[in-house]
Amino acid sequence: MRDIKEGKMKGNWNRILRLDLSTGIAVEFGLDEAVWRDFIGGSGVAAYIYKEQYLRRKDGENPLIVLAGPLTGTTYPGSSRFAVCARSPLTGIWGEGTCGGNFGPMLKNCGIDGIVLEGRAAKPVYLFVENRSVKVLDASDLWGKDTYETIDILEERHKRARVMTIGPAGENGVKYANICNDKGDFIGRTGMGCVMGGKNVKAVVVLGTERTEVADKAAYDELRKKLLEQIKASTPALSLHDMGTDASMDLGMMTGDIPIRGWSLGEDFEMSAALGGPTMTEKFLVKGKACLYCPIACRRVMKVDGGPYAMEEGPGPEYETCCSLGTNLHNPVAEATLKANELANRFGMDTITLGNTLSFAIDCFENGLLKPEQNGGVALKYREMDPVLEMIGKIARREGLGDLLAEGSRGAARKLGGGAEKYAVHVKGLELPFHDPHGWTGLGLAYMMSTRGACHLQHLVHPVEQGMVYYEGVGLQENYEGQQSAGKGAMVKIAEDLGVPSNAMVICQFVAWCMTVQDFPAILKAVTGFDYDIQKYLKAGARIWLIKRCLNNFWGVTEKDDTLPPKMLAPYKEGAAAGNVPDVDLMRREYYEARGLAADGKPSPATLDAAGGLEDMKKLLYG
Amino acid sequence: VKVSVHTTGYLLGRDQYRKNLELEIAEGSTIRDLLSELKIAELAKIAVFIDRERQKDLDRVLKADSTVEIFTLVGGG
Repeated sequence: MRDIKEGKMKGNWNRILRLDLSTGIAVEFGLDEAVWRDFIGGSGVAAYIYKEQYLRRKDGENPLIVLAGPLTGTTYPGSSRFAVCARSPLTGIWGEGTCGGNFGPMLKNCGIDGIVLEGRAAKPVYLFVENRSVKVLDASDLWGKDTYETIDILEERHKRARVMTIGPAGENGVKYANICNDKGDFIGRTGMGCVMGGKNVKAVVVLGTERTEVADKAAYDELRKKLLEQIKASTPALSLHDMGTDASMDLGMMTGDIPIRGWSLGEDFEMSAALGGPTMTEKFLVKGKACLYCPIACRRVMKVDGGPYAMEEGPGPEYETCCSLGTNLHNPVAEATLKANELANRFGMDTITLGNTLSFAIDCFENGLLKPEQNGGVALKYREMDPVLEMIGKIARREGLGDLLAEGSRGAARKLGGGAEKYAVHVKGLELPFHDPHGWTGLGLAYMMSTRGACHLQHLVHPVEQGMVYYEGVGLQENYEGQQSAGKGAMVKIAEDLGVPSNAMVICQFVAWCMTVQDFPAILKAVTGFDYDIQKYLKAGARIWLIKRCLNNFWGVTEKDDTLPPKMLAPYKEGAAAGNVPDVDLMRREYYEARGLAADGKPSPATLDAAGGLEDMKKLLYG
Repeated sequence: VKVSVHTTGYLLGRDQYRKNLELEIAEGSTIRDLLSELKIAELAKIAVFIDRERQKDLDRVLKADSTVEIFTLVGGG
């Protein structure tokens, strides 16, 4: 052990395990408490660690940073989450994902906040972290097994432990491989499973007996009780509980929110009838499932009895997957979407990028850029799921055409050439989530400006713009016109500054929808003991956004990358958003002004000065 | 006049996620009147559509044979 800064902070242990996989040597390190105060935890502190310890290294080390937040390990609703971060192999910029389940709390129970993995093991290994010790164990018997099998084996081998694992996609370097825990929860986006597989790490197993302490137990208890009441009174939370995250598809079809047929159709009610929450619940639900201590319980356990797409009882698709492998492929057969979801889960691939990459490939087949002979005589087509199901396995194995599609849509388009880029639906290399900027332009701006590429979760733009939630007193309106572009710059900046710290805590988005503005700093203060108020909280949000933006600028991001893909700029003929396209230039201008970015897309020196704690980033970008 | 009303999201009670109604309402009734009659007027977080078109003006008069769809606002992630 070395360099532990002992102090009075609670919530975080201020102990992070660093393991060099090349040598097997593990050490603990801590950070100045001001770092936790200013960057909170999760992806915020991970970005700080990356900046401080890895950005200038000459050996190209890309660590995998697994980090919980100050609330992880407490009983606060929605706090069972943790983050995994690295430079993304898919996008080349900052990569991160968060997920719920039970791994995060058990990680904190080990008496550490997280693990930083450096180097590469000589052969496949898995890590067994028991309290503050780590063993590097042989994983040759696990390599090649899917995520569900691996979790079953390791949970049997290490009783009471929790597991996060990659599937074959992560082993084979699929650029959008994910990391799975509890079978149904995934560090989904930006290819963190690819980074883990590149280090020859199959899984991380955690087993701990410590308990996360909070600074002010009375205040914490009161805030928790209050939030539970707010969740109970929330009709969105009730819908999510009963119908899952897919509860919104019927409404989305009415507002122009649902992408259909490779983002080319404005509406198709056959799709929402087949794939919407009520139908999926009625036909396939076995039971709901909750992350630890969450009363919303939006997870779905589903089953398909018999037929060509039979699926044994297991995790059902979330809203995003009902779109990515359903509406997006113009597939009206819900059973096939459940099967596709199961395959992606078992192989360990992000369903958002996977669905977009499949529709990209279909467009390329339709437009002659791909030929059937490149896929054993079979063209991929909309509404035909059997070749798609086969392709999911080929991608995971990097076999045949699957090797090209394992690069994601931008990577595949670059290799294909011939104008294929116009069919790739991404921002900065990360494919769009399935809420449509034609209907909701502010979310389009959020996709443009997110620090990990197109993202709908690092901020609170989605619920704010759609009017589900009104966060009072921070400059937001109660209602926004979805298809209007003017005025969205300031809204997105504020909704980011509210959502980014929540993401760093690491709190679930759905729980955040039930919180008031004052709840955010209040719970952080009660848990950590730091004297947060709403202004300090929002400033932390801006600071965390800026540090990631600076990393991205250092890696080459400019104002030219802050845009939407061509398909978002072509209007639909039908549906609620017919004729509308986001005004990218107007929204970018507004946003740059609100955020304090210079014309070249870098934060201005004055913006970095005002943020505090980013002096070295100013030097990095401006000398 | 007769209107068809479809509600989604427990607007008419905890046991009814979806409810389809055929209602006879007084001529000149507005969306606001309908919401009041159904006792969902106090809920701000709803979206109302008439014949699939989003309605922001709750004082709009309902025409005969209209289809009114009322949703709890909810999103997906």
